[in-house]
Amino acid sequence: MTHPFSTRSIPMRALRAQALAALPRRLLPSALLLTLGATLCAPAHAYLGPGAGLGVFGTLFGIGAAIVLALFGLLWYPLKRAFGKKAPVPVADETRMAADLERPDTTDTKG
Amino acid sequence: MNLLALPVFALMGVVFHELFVRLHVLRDIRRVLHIAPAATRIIRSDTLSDLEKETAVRRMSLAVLGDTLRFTAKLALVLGACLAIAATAQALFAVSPDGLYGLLSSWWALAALLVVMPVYARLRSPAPARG
Repeated sequence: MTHPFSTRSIPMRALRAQALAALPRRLLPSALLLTLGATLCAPAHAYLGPGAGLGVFGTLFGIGAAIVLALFGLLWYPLKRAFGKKAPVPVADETRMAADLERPDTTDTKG
Repeated sequence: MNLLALPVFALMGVVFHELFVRLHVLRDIRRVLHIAPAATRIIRSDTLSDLEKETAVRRMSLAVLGDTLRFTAKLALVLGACLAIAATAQALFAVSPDGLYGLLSSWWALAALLVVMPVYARLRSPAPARG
């Protein structure tokens, strides 16, 4: 017996077949646009080799990482410190002792 | 395309390899790429206080920026040296009829560099003997 919430109850095969059948219709405009763009573009003389590509990728990654870390260091933690919940102040020992003294003694077994 | 293009590309490959290795560009790139997991570990750490995290993250941000600028400058130097060789060869010998851009974006350049650089790297530092 199948569980009512089991994914097996969904006719996945039918859904997949429908999606696959609709795929060419969805992709056709994009493919036409891509072909048109590729045929109409002029040579840019902008070849990006592996060396420059590696450099661009590394630089972008480094700058992005530096910005994210700077956001954490300069904004997130100071704001968290300013607006975050303050840690509960521990009750002073004297106060606790006074409270203990005021409480009636229940451990007396004399009487 | 002039046949002189082949030694020019070979020279470019050798210069690229030598500068890339001697300037330790790869070490800088690796350092930048290793910062991200380290920063994630610090941010998710349970043992560090927020103040310690803040200080560490600020320091790491500056370190990443410095390393990135350093390796970008080194890489620009390496690529600029290769470009200078090609420009000099083109100015002196008119290696390609399509000018410098035509020379650099030709298939000859890619094929020559793909052959020369691995061969040169292998000859420069031969693989350790097995056994």
